[in-house]
Amino acid sequence: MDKIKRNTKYQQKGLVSILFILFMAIVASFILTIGYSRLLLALQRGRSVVDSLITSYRAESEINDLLARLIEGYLTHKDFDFSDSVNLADGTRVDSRGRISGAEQILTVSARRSFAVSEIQAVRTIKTQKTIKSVDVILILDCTSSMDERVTLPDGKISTIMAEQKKAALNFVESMILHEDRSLFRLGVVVFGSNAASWIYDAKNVAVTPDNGFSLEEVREAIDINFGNSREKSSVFYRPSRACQRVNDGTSIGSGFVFAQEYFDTKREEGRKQVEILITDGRPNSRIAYDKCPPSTTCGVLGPVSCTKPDYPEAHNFMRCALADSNTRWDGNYGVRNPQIDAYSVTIFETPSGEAVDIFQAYSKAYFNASRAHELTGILEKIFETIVESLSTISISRVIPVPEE
Amino acid sequence: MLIFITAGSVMATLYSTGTRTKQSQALEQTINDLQIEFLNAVKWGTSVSYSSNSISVDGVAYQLRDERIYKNDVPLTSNEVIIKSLNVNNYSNSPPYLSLEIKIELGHRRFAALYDTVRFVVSQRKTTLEEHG
Repeated sequence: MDKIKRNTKYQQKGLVSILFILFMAIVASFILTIGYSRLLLALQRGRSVVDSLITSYRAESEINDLLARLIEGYLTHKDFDFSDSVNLADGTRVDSRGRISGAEQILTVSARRSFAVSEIQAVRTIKTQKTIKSVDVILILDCTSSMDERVTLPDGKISTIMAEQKKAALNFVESMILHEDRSLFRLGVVVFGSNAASWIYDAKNVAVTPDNGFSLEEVREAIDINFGNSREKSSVFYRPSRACQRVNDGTSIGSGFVFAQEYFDTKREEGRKQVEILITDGRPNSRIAYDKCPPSTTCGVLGPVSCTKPDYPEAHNFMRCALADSNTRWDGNYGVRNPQIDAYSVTIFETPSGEAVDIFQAYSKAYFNASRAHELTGILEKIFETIVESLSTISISRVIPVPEE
Repeated sequence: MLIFITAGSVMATLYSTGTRTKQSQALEQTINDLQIEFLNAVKWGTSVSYSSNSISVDGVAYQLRDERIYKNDVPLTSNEVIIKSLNVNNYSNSPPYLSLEIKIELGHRRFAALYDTVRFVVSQRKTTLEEHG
């Protein structure tokens, strides 16, 4: 009997132990399950961040690719509307869509992964000239005596660089006059030398600025009558034209740029495009004091203080400062040109080289060299075409993706 | 008895580890959320300004207040996470586009041992391009 009781007691104890262990096992499994689910959650959370970055990168890459194709003409207006979908090797699905809405070409790219979607939209607005109030252009012409150098034209005739510059400027105005949207263009003309720059003036002594109400024909006439040096038939000395008498001899290219830019800065308004075009034959050898372009000193070939020979670093730095835009550094300083002003540079070097050319190439919107003076006309026409074509903008934004149906 | 003690201590360890993991995940989640939020906001913002402890993007202000980061008046961080500091510096050398270094010190409200410091840089991109030529 005792043995039976003892066995029963052991069995009860064993049962309790088993139940306890069972209970503990269930609780432990429960805790482990929670732990495991948290681990999974942490992994998925990590994946969601990675997916977010990857989709953002893929969408941006695709939109940049589409924009490059659009701008370069591989994707044309007639290709719209389009829709495309591609599955990348990394598991990202990229959907591209393009549609036209009025004057806008709208590109939308969605990149989707398991845990993230990024959608980016680029709107290219074709701003025809009609949506622009005006295109204000300032021609900045070189008045230095070296422009009077003789050149031989392809037909054997003798001319001067100044005469070719004048001819090119007149042809440029002519191109504007013949343009179907000529009313949009307003033109001013500036000359520069060593000490400063100046507007050219018409017969009534009114400055030829974009805002002074000159018709293009009147600007053409003002250039024709007042601009250009001319040689005495029997003399090797040049006689400055009326316009060039306003500035001293010597080449301060920076003076020409800052003169035009300071004018534009007071005239800025929405829908008004501002363009400056400088033509020169020489390397800068002069500068004026200008606080925004340190060190602010004055030096020149005719002044009391000469710039440092033989490289004229003061003149070159002034040119850098004047031409570089305010987002661009030169030697630790930012340029002074507002980026909204488009600056074009044209040189008339026989063999383009040297520091001045490097500066023009680095800081102009576009730089052209006419190895022969008579090529200026063609280059100015090319610039004119560039101005007309550049009137469109692209806006890129991130948009909230629409859930798939 | 030994079994009971062992099983009990294993369970206690599992429980405390689980709790600690949970709190740690709360910090991780906050860090991820803030990174993604600031990345998207600053990168695509057209008007971004900053001070040493706040950022403003297109009229939306991100700032540290009462140990939480607020997006205007909406808290971005949960109540159980405290934000100890928010520091903002600009690293950009191409103004007007900003590259903001954002440093955030955060910790768990009830577990002082749980804290972290996250530092990341977000750059504003040019969203309007003028097509040349």
